[in-house]
Amino acid sequence: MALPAALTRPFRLQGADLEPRLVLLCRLLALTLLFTWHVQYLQTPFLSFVPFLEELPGVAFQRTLQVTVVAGSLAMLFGARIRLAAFLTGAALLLAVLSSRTYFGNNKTFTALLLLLAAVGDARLLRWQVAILYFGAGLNKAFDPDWHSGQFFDHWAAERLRNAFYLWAAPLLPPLVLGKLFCGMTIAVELALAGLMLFRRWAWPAVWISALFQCGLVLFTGQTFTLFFFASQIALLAFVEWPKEPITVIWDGECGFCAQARDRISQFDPDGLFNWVAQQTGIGQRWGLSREALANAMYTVSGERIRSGYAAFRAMIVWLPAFWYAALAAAVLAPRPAVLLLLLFLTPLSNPIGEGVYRWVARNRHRFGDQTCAVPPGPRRS
Amino acid sequence: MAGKLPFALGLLLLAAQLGGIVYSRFTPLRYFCWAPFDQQTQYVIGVEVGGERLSHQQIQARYRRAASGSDNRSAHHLFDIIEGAESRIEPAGRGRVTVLYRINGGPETEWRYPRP
Repeated sequence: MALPAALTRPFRLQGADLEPRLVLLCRLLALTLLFTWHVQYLQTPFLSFVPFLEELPGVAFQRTLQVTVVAGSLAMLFGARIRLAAFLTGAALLLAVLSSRTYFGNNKTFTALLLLLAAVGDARLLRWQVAILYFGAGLNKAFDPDWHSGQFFDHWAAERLRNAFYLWAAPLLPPLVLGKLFCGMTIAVELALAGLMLFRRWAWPAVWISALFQCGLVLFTGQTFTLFFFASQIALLAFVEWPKEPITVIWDGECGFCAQARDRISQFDPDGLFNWVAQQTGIGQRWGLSREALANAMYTVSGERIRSGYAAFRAMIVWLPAFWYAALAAAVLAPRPAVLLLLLFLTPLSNPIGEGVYRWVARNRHRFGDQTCAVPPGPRRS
Repeated sequence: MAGKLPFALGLLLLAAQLGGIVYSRFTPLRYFCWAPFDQQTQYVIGVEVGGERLSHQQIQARYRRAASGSDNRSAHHLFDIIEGAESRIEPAGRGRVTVLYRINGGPETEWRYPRP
């Protein structure tokens, strides 16, 4: 049964007034605000950075911000005028930050700025924003004596977090050495990221270093630092080149299970990013793929890049907004397990198990699902 | 692609942040300069107004901060909030505030309002 158009909108990135990666960025930020129900923290003005804000009626101001953030987030998810919704939501959050020193937080400011800059519609501004964030963070630490001596990390990890690994490892070394190592690494990574993110050719290493750094922090601390972890990861979309052409998926057109899987995936691909072509059409010859190879695994072709099996499956899934919505929901509910699983899935660490499972499923695919629904081979766009 | 004016405004937002980063080198406050989680402050606030000691609830209502706890940012943010609140709530200067605090597990230090 087909879903109403409005309900499929969150899965559709084309057709909005921003490019797909920025649409996804805005929607993920919107979902973060909604999943964490961030509006509960919005306050009446108190010791504001902009004095006239305290002259406004406090409760009305607070309610207006709350309504704007919720309505703006929903509009980003279900509407096509993402730009306006992102601008209003970002402006409301920034106003909230400016209106109260006790609400002020780097995570909230960063989220607000990401939305405002996304509304401009130029991904370069977002990339520079992330670089400035890392530059400021690295520089401040580099001038702090407690970061030089390792005292910050030693106190934080041992006394505040009671981190089991740190408590085990620190006594094996002279006092503060492990703390100094972590402090030094953090400063080096942040300042390096600030530099790398300014250059397009270094974008991919920067994305991976940033993702591993922030995910490592979540695994180490179990904390998402309010909105910060989510915003810092979502911002990386500004560095991603969205596919300009559909990804060709070569699948077994005589397998009912495969047809069901294709239909299921296509439900979440209303933009038609995947161009499904059955191997029986002989399309594999175009890239020199043998019949035997095609019989053993599905293939994806994206530009010059050909992937097979588990790697092909993973390369498809990561382009589906639904995957990131689910990952975000999981990370909100259970940060550590979700981040660990996500890291395993996205890195080659999962290849042995993933490939094993894929091969087993591929070998037995004619025993699963409804084998009567296999379709005649032929090109099909989802 | 973005229009020229929105793009220029975006650049202005970024430039303001660079200004904030430079400015933060000359003040202990760490607002708008991207210094997240750079300091761990444990503190206890004590307040007397006209000789009467305020309860934890009254302190929370006064500063929107717990009377004791920890903060992940510069300790000077806490002092800034207390000074700001006191100067508005008690312009006559009747409030006497003491904050006992430790930064990153270091020695306990005392901060007072009004400043001596």
